[in-house]
Amino acid sequence: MKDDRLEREMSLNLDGRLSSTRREQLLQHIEQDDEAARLWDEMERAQQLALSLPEQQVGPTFTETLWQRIRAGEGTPEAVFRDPVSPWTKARYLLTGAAAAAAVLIAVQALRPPREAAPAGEAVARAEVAERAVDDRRTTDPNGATTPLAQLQPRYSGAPQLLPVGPMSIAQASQVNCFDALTELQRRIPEVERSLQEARPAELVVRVAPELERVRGSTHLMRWMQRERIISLPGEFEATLALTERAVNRLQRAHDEDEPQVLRFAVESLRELDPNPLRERFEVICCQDPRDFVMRLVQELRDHPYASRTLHILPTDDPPLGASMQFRIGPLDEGWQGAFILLDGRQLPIDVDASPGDGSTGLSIRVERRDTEAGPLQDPGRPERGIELLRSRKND
Amino acid sequence: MVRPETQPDPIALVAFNRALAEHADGLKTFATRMLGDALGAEDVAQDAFLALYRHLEQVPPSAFRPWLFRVARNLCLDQLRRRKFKLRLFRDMERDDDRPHVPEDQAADRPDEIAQAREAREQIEAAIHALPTRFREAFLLCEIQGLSYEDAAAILDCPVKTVSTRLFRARQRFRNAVAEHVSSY
Repeated sequence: MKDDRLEREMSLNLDGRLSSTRREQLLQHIEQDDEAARLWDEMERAQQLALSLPEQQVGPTFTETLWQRIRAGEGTPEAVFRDPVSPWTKARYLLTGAAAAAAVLIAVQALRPPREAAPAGEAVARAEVAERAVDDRRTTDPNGATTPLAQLQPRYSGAPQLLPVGPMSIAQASQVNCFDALTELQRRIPEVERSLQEARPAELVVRVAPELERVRGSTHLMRWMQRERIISLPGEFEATLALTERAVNRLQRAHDEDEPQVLRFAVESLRELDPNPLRERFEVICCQDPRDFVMRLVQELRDHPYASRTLHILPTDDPPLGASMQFRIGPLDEGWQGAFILLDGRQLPIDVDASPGDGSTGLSIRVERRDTEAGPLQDPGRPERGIELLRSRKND
Repeated sequence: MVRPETQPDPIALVAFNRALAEHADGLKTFATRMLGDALGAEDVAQDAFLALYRHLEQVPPSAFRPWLFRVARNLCLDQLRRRKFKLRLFRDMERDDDRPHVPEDQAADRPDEIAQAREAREQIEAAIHALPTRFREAFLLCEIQGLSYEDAAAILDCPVKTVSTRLFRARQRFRNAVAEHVSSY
């Protein structure tokens, strides 16, 4: 690989932006090439250096001063709407003439709201909260034309913040953070449920319960993290977990501060949580027998042939199964590789192709349990105990 | 000027308070490294929250963070353009008696270790500050603040690919600038 391209791919890999196939190739290259390994090590260290810098903290009077300015009716600073324009853009507008320049001016104008809200006095009165759809609200620009609000807003995904996928030390640090967050979640979910029930029993439970169920699913993982059965977690999980925690915070805060609004707030905040990333990318399944995993994996591949998902399939009992199994499933059309099972704390790479088996859209997997002798694994390629994931070919 | 009184949505107000608790420090950190001035950075952070309060009805809570950073970025660039703040990062920090206390490494109780750590930190800060503005923005947003490429692209008003390239270039330059510290980290 050329140096620049290699370095660029490493940069993407730091942020988890490489496909699983490319990531595996990159990691393989790093293992085989000393120079590449040195470069990767330097990039990771440089990232850690940058992240080691302490965060600036706002002063103790920051919030108080802010509220004083708000109560005083201070408006939005002018410079907020002064989006910088690149020199090339300026030149282009000059070349294309006044029409383009006018378009820029109109766009800048459209970013300014016609009226700026100001609070009343010292206390904010509790107003009746009406259902309104943000996208349907319109505002009027100085020229009198109405513009859909959605067009005025910047493009923000509001998507979970993905953390870079780093080396094992970062994964373990993430695990600790996730564990703490999960522990806190498990502790607070019953309190939140109690609060919500006190607010408005029947209706609330019906509307909120399915959402809370998804949140509760994360507690399964916590048990296995407690048992140190999971040594690495995808960065997406941590980001989604942060959102989950935030939703629970909002529920509690809503109950404490504005009880009559708890129902609307609960539904809104949970809806805003958007558990789809958690559900679509990461799922915890409990199975009694690992051979049941096969059906579940095939089902997954049929349901989500082009999605990249992570399944944690956990035995409901403690050993004799003796391990959790983590499968990373990639898009079928890439001939995904790099799947592995996590067995007794060690990763066993699996090379599985995506050739269709028995007419299905996915691949055939056979899981066979072996009775083996006790003892640690010696050769990752040839597990001596526990669960072995075998590849089933079309002609088997 | 007396403005018509409009009550913000109580739900949005709760979300605003939450954003204040969660993002104020991050905003100030971002602005400090953009401007090279901690006091000015705090003003930028406060202005950003003031703007958010005035637009609570227009910005969904899930977009608070990128919205705040976009506003902070505009404010920082405006100040840089006006040359209001001189980029004397380290001299300003040393003279700023009101700067917030940054805890030293508690394990390093020897003065020489503390001084060494501080010097290293200053050099790392200088390396960030030496980045060209467009690279520094991407670096601060993605590397330091952990925003996604997509959110950074929305803040910087550029394609995702551009964010990726700028971040890559920033990382290259930063790594070269702190090579001495990388080898000993």
